[in-house]
Amino acid sequence: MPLNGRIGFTLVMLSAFAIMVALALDYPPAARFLPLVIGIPGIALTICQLLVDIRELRRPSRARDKLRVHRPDESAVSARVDQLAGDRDQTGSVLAREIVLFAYFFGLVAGVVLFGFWLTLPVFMIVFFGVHERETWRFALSLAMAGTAVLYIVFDRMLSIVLHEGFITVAVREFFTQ
Amino acid sequence: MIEIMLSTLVELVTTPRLVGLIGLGTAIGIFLGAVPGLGGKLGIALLIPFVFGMDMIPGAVLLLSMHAVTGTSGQISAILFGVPGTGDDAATVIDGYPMAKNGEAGRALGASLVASGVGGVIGAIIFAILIPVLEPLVLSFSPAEFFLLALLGITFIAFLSGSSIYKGISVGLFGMMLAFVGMDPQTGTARYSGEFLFLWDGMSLITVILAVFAVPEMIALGVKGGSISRVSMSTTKYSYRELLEGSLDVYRHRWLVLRTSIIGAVIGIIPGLGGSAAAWLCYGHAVQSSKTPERFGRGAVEGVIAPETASNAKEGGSLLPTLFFGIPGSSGMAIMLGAFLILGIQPGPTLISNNLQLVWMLIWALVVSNIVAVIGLLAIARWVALLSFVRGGLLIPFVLILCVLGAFLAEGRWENLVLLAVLSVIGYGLLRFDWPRAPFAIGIVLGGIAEKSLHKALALWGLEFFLRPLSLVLLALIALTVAWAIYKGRRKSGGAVGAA
Repeated sequence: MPLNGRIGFTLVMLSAFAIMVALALDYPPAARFLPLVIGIPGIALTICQLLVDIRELRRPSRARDKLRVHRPDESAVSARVDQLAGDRDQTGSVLAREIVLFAYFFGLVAGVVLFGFWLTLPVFMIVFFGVHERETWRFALSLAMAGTAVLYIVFDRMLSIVLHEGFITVAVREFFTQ
Repeated sequence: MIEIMLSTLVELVTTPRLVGLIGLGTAIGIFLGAVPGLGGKLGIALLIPFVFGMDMIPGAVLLLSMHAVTGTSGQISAILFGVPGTGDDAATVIDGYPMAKNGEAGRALGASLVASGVGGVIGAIIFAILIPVLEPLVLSFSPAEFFLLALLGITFIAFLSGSSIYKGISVGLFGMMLAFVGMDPQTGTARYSGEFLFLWDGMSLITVILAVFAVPEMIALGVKGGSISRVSMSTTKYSYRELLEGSLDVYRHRWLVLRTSIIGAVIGIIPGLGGSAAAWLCYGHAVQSSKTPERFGRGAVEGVIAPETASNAKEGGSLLPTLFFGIPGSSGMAIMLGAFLILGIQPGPTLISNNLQLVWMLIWALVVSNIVAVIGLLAIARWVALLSFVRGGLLIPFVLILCVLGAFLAEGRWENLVLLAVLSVIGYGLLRFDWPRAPFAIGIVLGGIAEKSLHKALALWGLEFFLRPLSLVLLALIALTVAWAIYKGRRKSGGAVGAA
């Protein structure tokens, strides 16, 4: 039985509950009371959900088996198999797009943590518009500059909010100022 | 009393300085509310240096008008991009964002803005009505009632679970488990936080909400392609008529508006429950009282109206204990209390007898600023709503940047950015595999309140706290809610069988 994403995510939820309940066992009685009261039913419910997911996963394969057993029309079987293959291709392309978008988002977060907001934001916007959206570099650059300028004016100038400067940026600045 | 009430209103609207300060406060409040992570608390902190040295009434009017409308503008990004400005606005995302996807952003904005304004005004009226009976009301709520109120909110999860009760309840329980992250209030044990000091105070609510609601929606938009609205702009009647339609929805659901305003104001009065609890309890109430609960989460206008009325009505309510007992009804009101002291306002029961004019001036400031904010935002909402038709690829980077800024600004900690990234994967999983996210938010908002209150109630009364008169009323409400959920579930499955 293939481990599809739906079952995979239910397993993630089940693992999260199981780990949290296991960790709670080491806490003093008063501290573990509610985590156990909430976590144990959580494990039971996600197991129920897992069973529902497995049952649903077996449904299409049963339908395909039925189709093959009755052999009403060979072309219908091959059309169904093609459709399943098409679904897999589509799932593959969706997964690829999801990975790319998460990579951009994680890149933004990592960039802000390491290089700070004011260096990362324009670079992120230029790369996203230029590479992902395939806009012209001039358009990407002007949108990134305008966006960063608005954020800088609002947060730095108007509100005087000090944003995270980034560990590498601070380290480099300290290196050169020493 | 009536003479003072009317004379203060006339003074407020005819004094150019006060009118200017209300306009300024409202404009600042709208801006701070619209940017995720900023909000009213930061606004008060930023304005304190400016009100220092001002007269009592102008200073208080400026601060209050600014704070009262931050919730009104936060819904714009919640509806258009699925990015809640504060934890209170997260409930609005559940139905507001699907409405934008369905090409009904204008209607959703019209409904939510008018609902906010009406909620704010009703909250101020409740403030005025409750002044004589405030003391017994506030004192009747103890940790026992807090716990049972939180439990009542959690039982609403059953109504928000949609087609899969297992998924709904387990994701609600998962939200509650995350609410336990941090220092245990009873023993001081650091739970689920290990050596990470930033987690000892618990997870930042705004970070969790952004990770579970906003980031996944942007990733999904990027994967899907196109604009936020699935309906093309040419097929949508994009005019002020759409806003008017939304505004009329508030009238159509007037009893819901009244009920949720009262619930919101009462929750505002009770110190410690907070605005997010008001919004989620009222959202749950809207689902529970609807004849067609299956529409919720797919773009039901009542799902936008209920949390917005509640979160604005609570401002009037939370001002009551702040002014008359010196007990802030929310963290925002705690900072407001400090600002009031700087202005020379001495909170306490004697305020009614000694400075009734100030009390009425504040009530009218709440009413007028809400009306000004709604009119101003309705005027621009039509143009703002057009953003839902802009190509997603041009919006995604800006919205993701707003999420990152919001998570950082919530507590000024870079660690929250890592938390945002990690939780957004779980949030996307919930979205991708059809796990309802509303129960998660209810769990994380009310889980912490439930635990703290339970420990306090047990320490004060033991298990006898269940027998307090108000506790019995709340227990009966919980039992009725559960019975109603079971009855509705059975009727639905019976209907399905019958249909089959």
